[in-house]
Amino acid sequence: MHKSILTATLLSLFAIGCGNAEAEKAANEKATAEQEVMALDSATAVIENVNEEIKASTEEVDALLNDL
Amino acid sequence: MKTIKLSLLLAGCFLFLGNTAFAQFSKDDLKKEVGKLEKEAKKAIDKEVKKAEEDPDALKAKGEELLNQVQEKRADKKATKATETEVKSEVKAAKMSNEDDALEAEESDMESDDTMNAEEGENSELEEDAAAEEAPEKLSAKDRAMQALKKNEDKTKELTKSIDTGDSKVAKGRTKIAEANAKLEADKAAGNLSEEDEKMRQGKIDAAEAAINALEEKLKSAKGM
Repeated sequence: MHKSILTATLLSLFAIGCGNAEAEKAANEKATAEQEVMALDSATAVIENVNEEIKASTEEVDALLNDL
Repeated sequence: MKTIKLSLLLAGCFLFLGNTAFAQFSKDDLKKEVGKLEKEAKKAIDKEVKKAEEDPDALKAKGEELLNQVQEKRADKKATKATETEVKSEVKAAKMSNEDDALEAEESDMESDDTMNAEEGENSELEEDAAAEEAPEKLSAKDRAMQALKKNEDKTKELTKSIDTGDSKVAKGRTKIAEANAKLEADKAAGNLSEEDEKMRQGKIDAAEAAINALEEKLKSAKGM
């Protein structure tokens, strides 16, 4: 009887461990994916800023050339 | 024999309870993690926007630094492969969490059938409702990844277009400045210009040249992106 209970407890502990590891793996994957999306957003913001600066500079050059 | 049956039953119960409990914990953790990350991202973006309004030069420097980091990362993989992996991992994560929900819903259904308890039935319905409410969030996570990717592609195309326009503007500007310089020299040689006019025209030419140089620098750094 004691042996069976011990076996059952061990089995359940093993199952809990497996479940926990799987959940942790899923959480890590989700966090990594989210971080990658954030990195992509940051890169997009930088591209947007550079683009705005180039546009502003081009307009400035245009105005100065027209004034020549 | 009875002992074996009892032990198997106990093991089954523990298995079920353990997995359900940890699935719930992991779901809560995931939600917290995602919420935290979203908040951090929003804060960081707001901060960057404020900085940009206050000091554009500092932002440009930081932007270049970030770009270098991104480029290094992309150099390890390939640009296209990196973006594809990002989307795939996001989709995979969304699918995995959807599968978790489906499993949970099945488990809750089985539970209600076994016990035939009205209260538990209500609980499983509540769980299903909760899972249904979470579905849009998970879809939006996938959509968010797709949107981020699409926005990045659009902005990159826009930047390429701006770079092309800038390049042609620089070439035209150089020609125009050369012409203006030649004309100024000719007028100076002919003695048609007062000193004041000469200074004014030279100033304009210098200003245009400086602006073109600045634009060229910006284009150069943008091409390295």
